[in-house]
Amino acid sequence: MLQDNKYLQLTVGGIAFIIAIPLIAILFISFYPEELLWEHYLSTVFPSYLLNTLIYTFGSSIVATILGTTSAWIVSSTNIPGRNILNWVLLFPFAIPAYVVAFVYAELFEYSGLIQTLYRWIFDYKSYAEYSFFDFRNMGGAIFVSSIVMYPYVFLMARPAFVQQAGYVLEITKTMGHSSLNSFFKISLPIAMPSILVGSILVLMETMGDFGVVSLFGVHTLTFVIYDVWLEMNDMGFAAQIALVILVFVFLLIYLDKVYRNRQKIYLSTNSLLKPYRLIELSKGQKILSLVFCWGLFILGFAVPALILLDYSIRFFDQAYTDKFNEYLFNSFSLAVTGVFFVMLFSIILGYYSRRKKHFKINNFLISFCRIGYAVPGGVFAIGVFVPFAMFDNFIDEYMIKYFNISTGLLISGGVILLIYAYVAKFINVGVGSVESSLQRVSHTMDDVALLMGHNKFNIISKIHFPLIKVGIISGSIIIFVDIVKELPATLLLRPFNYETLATFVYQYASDDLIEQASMGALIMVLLGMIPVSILCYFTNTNSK
Amino acid sequence: MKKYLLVAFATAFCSTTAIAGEVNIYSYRQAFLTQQLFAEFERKTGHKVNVLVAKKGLLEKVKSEGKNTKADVIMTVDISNLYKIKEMGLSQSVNSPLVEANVPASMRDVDGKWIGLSQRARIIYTSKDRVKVGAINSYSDLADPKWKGKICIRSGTNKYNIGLISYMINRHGEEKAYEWLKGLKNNLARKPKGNDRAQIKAVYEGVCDIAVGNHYYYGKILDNQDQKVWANSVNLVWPDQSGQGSHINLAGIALTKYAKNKDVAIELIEFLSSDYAQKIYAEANNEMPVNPNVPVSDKVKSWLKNVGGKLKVDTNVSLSDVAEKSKDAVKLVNKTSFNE
Repeated sequence: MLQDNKYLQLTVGGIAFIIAIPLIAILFISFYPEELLWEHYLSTVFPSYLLNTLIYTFGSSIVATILGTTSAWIVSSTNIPGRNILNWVLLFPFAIPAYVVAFVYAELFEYSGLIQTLYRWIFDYKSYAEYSFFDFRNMGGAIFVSSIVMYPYVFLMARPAFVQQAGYVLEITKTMGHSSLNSFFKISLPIAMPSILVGSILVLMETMGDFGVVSLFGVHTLTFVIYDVWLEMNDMGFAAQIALVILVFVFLLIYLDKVYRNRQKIYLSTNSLLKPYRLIELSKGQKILSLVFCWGLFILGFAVPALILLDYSIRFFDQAYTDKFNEYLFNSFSLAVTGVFFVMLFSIILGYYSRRKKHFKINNFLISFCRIGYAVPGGVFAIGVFVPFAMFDNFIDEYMIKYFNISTGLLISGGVILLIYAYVAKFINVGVGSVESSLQRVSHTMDDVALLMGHNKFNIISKIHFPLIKVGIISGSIIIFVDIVKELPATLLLRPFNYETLATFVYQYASDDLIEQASMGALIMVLLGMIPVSILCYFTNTNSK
Repeated sequence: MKKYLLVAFATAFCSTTAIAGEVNIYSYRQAFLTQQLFAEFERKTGHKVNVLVAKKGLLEKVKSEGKNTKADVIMTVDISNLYKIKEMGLSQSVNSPLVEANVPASMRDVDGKWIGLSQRARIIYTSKDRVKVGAINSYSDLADPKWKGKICIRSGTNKYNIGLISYMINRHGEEKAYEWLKGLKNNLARKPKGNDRAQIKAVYEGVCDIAVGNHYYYGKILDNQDQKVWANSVNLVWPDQSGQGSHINLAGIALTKYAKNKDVAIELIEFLSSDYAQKIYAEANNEMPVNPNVPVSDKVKSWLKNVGGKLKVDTNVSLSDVAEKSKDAVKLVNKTSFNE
């Protein structure tokens, strides 16, 4: 199926190039700043904003990784009661947009919020002046919110890795006389690491481009500088230069991850799936601890914000409800399904290409390059999408007028096609990450043996690869689905006239702190996100029994 | 055959052809604020209104779409955006005696390349309990060291604050504006965060005694059953009423250079500046109408009671000048590390 020929190399290169167009556009825009403000920024806010960016992004990523990995290991490798339910509900938090969760928590911890009201009641304080209480709207709060809503990225990526090794790790552990905790650090974790890192990097990149949470919490990151320069100083070119600083950094991370990945040579065999699926027995104390941890994640990441939203949408029903919800729901759903299809299609092509032994260097570079769009602040990325395509449309239009006297207008821009393209360009990172990391667990030796036995390549992919990478691909698809449902800047800017999705509807209120009006829309978004999450659970649960 | 196919292709995809009785709007204004106005316009004229709302990037979109753009008008808040539309060459002049009669010259571009539709004042809110009426009267007072640790304000580089800072640069010169901003920064009770609404809430909660915000936010929180108590905990201070007057900013509209539905678009602009629409808008969002025939809403009138029912606006600083200094304003914010 994958022949060693020029055409394949060209096709792959072409796909990666087309996906990378927004980034190339941003690069071009950066060549034309109005004014070089580096000196001003370096001598004023840049250093501290950079530091904020690093603390926020790495902080969120590390915390999310710890939460996601621990919970994934517990539900996949131990006999914790209610595993199947936990498998399901632990994914819920990332269905709620981070900025909504941020708002809800900020409210909860503020003076008039439940926590401080209780505190005053218990200690009999009358006013703010009589006591001091920590301010939730700061770096710590921002990291808390981001990691509590994004740990499912890590959870989703890590779990299949743990599930696939569960049988034989336990065997090794027993033979070698390790304790279960020991086996986690010595065996399970290293094997699952490549997959875990995919999730960690997703969190890192997503927080890198975040504006919603940080602006609400007054954490000034480089995203602020980018938007200040672009929108208040009217200098898109210089804004693009700052964005590039972030991108170079992210590119390095992806590259390092790749180097690390190539050194890791731990493969699974299909055999491991056939081994009896055996779980680590937890002691009573361990059980309680694990239950508190897992259900705690669910409560903090989902139950609390969802209940508050529910409360708002009941109390403010008249303002929160609109009879257009079915239309918005349909729009969000159809965009997400179409988006997932195309992202996964291209991700599988690019992911398989990366697995081959023979590469064009330029293709390797392009594939890594086109993935960094995920970390670009959304507004800037949207500009990178429509500028080149509007240019293309205008070029075709002029050509058609000149030679055929027909005006084609804007063929691509302004339609849903460009929106779908934007999703592909933005979320290809998730797709390729999930495909690559699942394929990595499939050894080349397995292919060779199957070839020798007379199987053709199609057979190898469908009979041997697919069962092994299925869960990884479905996990990636779910992240992309939910990400598209939540996606905002590109959707806002590239959608057709009078076109509303759940995300755009919620945002018009949430951006003005009108959580009452936004509440029900946000809840419906959450419900929509639960559909694919539930499908995944159905698959993995039947799989692991 | 080839040509036939091309024609079929073109008609299938070509959605830019102007259909009579339609107007396409790119808008930075939240949909729920303008919904009623557009519905009224549709009802009165029979034209169809199509809207695309976004938070950023619309101007760049119009620019890159060039002569094929579908946008007929751009609606936006803030003078800096209106000014940018003109600077980027995105708009064309609106030549309408009706608009000229409805909108005073100071509220629209000399060439008609943008037209103001509503005014908003940046004002001061003070705690009823903790700040005596008359203790703070002007923007300059915000830098008075006696308010150390007492003031709340949103991010320094937010458009509304950049407008105010550019205004101060125009009014007092860059040097003095810098000193003023430094003084204000030293008076902050906490790092700038949240929007204008959140600052008033912070006064209610006791985090600070003084907040800076746009005047219509007061109406927004008054209308909310949960937030009413915040509004009731503050006094409104219209700044510099005994001096040069308050700084106001505009929300407005511009006709795009390549508008396909120019006639309907002008009709829309005329409608939006008319007594009828200005009244609806004044009532709905408590912004102040630009049309001098239309009084401010009853609510705003009651808020203006302590300054004799009428707001004194500083007309000596032109809004275009305010827009022009916005870059310098951002630099001042950075220099004072205002947001840290």
